[in-house]
Amino acid sequence: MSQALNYRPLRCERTRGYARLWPLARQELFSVFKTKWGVALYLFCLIPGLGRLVMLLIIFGVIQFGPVSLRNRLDNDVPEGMLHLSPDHASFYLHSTLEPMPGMVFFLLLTTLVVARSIARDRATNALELYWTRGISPWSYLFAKWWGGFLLTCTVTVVLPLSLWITACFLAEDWTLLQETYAQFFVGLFGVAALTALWTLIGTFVSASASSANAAMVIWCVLLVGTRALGGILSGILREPELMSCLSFWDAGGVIVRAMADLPQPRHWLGGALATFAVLFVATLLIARSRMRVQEALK
Amino acid sequence: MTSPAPTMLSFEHVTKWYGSVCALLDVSFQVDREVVGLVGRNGVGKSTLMKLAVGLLGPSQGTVRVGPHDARTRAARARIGFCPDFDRLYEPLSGVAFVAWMLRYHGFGGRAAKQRAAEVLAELGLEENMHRPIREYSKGMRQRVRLGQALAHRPSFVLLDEPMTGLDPLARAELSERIRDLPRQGVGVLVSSHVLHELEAVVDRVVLVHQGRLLAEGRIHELRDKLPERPHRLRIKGARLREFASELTSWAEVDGVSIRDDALEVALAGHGAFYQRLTRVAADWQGGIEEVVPLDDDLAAVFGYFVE
Repeated sequence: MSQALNYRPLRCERTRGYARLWPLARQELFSVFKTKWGVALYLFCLIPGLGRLVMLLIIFGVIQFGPVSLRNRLDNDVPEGMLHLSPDHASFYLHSTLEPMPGMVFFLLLTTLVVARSIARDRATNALELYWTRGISPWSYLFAKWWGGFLLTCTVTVVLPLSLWITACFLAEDWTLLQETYAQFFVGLFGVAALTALWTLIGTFVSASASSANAAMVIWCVLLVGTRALGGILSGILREPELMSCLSFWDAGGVIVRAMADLPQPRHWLGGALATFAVLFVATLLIARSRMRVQEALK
Repeated sequence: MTSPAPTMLSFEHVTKWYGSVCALLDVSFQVDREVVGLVGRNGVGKSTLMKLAVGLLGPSQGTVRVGPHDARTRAARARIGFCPDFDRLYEPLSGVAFVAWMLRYHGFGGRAAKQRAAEVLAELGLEENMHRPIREYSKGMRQRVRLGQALAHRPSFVLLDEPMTGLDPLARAELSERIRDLPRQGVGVLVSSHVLHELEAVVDRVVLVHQGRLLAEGRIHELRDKLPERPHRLRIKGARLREFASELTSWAEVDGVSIRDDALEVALAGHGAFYQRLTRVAADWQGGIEEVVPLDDDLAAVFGYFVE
């Protein structure tokens, strides 16, 4: 026998924008923690940051391998190419995020399995209807998906460097480290946050454009790894290192952030990097725009 | 003088074009507190009709209303529950977490959403399993979760797209009963399904769609009666069938009689007085008449005739 479903006259309750989108963003943010493999993946992505933390503890003598802490042996004459090994320089905290190894590898791992799959998975399972019939427009839906993916990625790309820097400030003997690095560090951190926002947005556009989760993951990997490989080969053949900054999408981002924070970097072409980013953003946006039309998305 | 209450769902002269392709042409019908079946072959415009009803698409011409509201407004969407035709939900979530999550979009706070989700899933018979992850659910359980998310916010109108797909006979019977129960609780239902004999058991009326046009709407028997050029056919089983056949051939209402597989198949020219006369004769027939079954009075036959 059916039981009563307790219907009552509906009082239409209006839900505000934030309250409508946050449950979806929250779902995306915590999606990786719903399975043990997801948790393992996330912990794996923390390895570069934890590695830097161990370095920091060794440099400040919290973990001692000798009678004198390593920091005392590091004088101010650190060569420019080695600045990322000195906690007295902002590069130390941002290096593991901006460099292809390990930064790109772990970023790629996390975003491929979370951001690139987010919308493509819903499209493949027809779950888009669930949201779009609840008064969430396709663009609000895309925004919420991006929001969740961005916050998750930020915990690795932004929160980890920030935690490292705060730890270093407290481990230092006085506030000199803080005073000398804060300006450059925060500009760099802002750049990394903006870059993360842009990358995850492009990843979300790729996800919105692909017909399946696997296709989205492959396209996303090709965009990052493929263009880097292409850039490496062409810049090597033509002996133009600057080409790397406009052929590799990952390196283009790194060049822009380093230029913003005035961090040391090899030969590059800032204009080319900006143009590369702009073209990539507009191209993926236009494709996503056509693929997110209701008639196109719901088949 | 007060104006009559608006119907729960109304299509008024709705036409929908996809570029140069006409998916629906001048479709009009209403659904009130009843179960209405949407019947049509693949690609005739059923999905478009569903998408128009839930406000995913807007009509090229005409209006689609949910109660007094245009179907594309938020007020209309709050009044509609939609059970889409897909099986894969968010696998790591539990059934109750999934329904609660969907409820958040309808203005329920966190605690209220969980409470209501648990309530509706318990009512749908998932009380013991609602906290298990969806990936461990059987198809029947997943169907209940789909139905639960459509009903949890207490909509006044529910759209069910292929709700019987993948269910075992017991679960189908149970679901049919639940669907039939909804109008008694003040909820209108539009249900689309390919399983016509099961749809027939659930619906009060049907809407037949073919090639983007509304072929017919109404109760199945009324629709059948609208086809006088199609003789009704009956199968009769009993004793002394040859003698019974010769008796029937003398009746004016009978168009033809044939014997197949130990049964008579009777074609009727008209059935106005036929059934009363048959009842009288069968009651006195020596040896008895065991069975009289109409062969083309069901939804599948009616739909087939209309399409032809």
